[in-house]
Amino acid sequence: MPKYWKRALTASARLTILALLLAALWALGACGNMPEVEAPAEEDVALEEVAPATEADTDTSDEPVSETSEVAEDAGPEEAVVTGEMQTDSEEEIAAETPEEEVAVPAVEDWTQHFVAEGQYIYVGNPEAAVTILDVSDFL
Amino acid sequence: MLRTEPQLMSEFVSTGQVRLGFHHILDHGQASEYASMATECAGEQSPTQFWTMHDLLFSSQSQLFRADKATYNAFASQIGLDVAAFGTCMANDTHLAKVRAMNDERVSEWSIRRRPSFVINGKVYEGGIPFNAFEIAIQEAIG
Repeated sequence: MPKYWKRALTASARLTILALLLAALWALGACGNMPEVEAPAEEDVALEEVAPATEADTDTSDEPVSETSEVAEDAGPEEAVVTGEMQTDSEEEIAAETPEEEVAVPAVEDWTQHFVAEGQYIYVGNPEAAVTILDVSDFL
Repeated sequence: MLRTEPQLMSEFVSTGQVRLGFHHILDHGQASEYASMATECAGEQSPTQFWTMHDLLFSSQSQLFRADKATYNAFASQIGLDVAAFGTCMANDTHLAKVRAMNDERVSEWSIRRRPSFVINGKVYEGGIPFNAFEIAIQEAIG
C-alpha cells in the first residue's frame, strides 16, 4: 500500500474519530441544554419559514405597488375627467362670453367710414352728430 | 385743413361727435375749378369717392397748378373710378356752376376772405386755427 493511502486513511480515521467525539459531545449537550440548543434551531426554522412569507410579502409588497399604480391609474383618469370637465366648463364659459363680445363689437362704429350726401355737401361722419364742421378751402 | 383734418377725424369724427363737409373756394382760377369739379365728379359715382379724391388731391397738391383734365382722369383711374364716366363729367363741366356758386357763397354768406376757414355749426372761424381752438369751438357748439 502506498504511503499516501496510509496517510489518507489515517487522516480519515482521525476525522471519523473527531466526528464521533463531536457527536458524543453534541448528544451530551442536547440532553443537558435542550431548550438552548433547540431555540436557535426553531429560530432558524422560523426564519426559513419566514423566508417564503417574506417572498410572499415581497409579492404583497409588489401588490401595493400595483395597487398604487392602479390607484394612480384610477386617479389619473379621474383627474383627466376632472380636467376634461374643467376644460369643458371653461370652453362653455368662453362660448358663453364670446357672443357677448361679438354683440359688443358692432356697437363701436368708426364714423370716418360713413359718408352721406345732404344738400350741396357730402359729409363724412355721423349724420346725427351734434356738430357740423365745414372746411371752407381750396385744394391748391 | 390738411394739418388738422387727421386729428379732427380721429378724435371727433370717428367717435360720432362731429360730421365734416367741404365747401369749395376757387382762389386759383381754372386750376381750382378743375380740382373742385374732380371731387364732385368722383362723388357723383359714390359719396365715399368724393373724400377719396379729396384726400388724393391734397396729397398731390403740387401737381394741381398745371394739371389738365387728362391729369384728373389719371387720378380717377388711380382710385378705381369709372374713368369714362368721370371723363364725361369733367369734359361737360357738369359741376362747374355748383362750385362757382359755393365760392360766391363764402363771401356773400360768411364774408370769408382768408383760407382755410371753418364754419362750425354756422359760426365762422376765419383763417388757420390750431387744434385746441377746434376743441374749444366743438365744446361750445355741443354746449
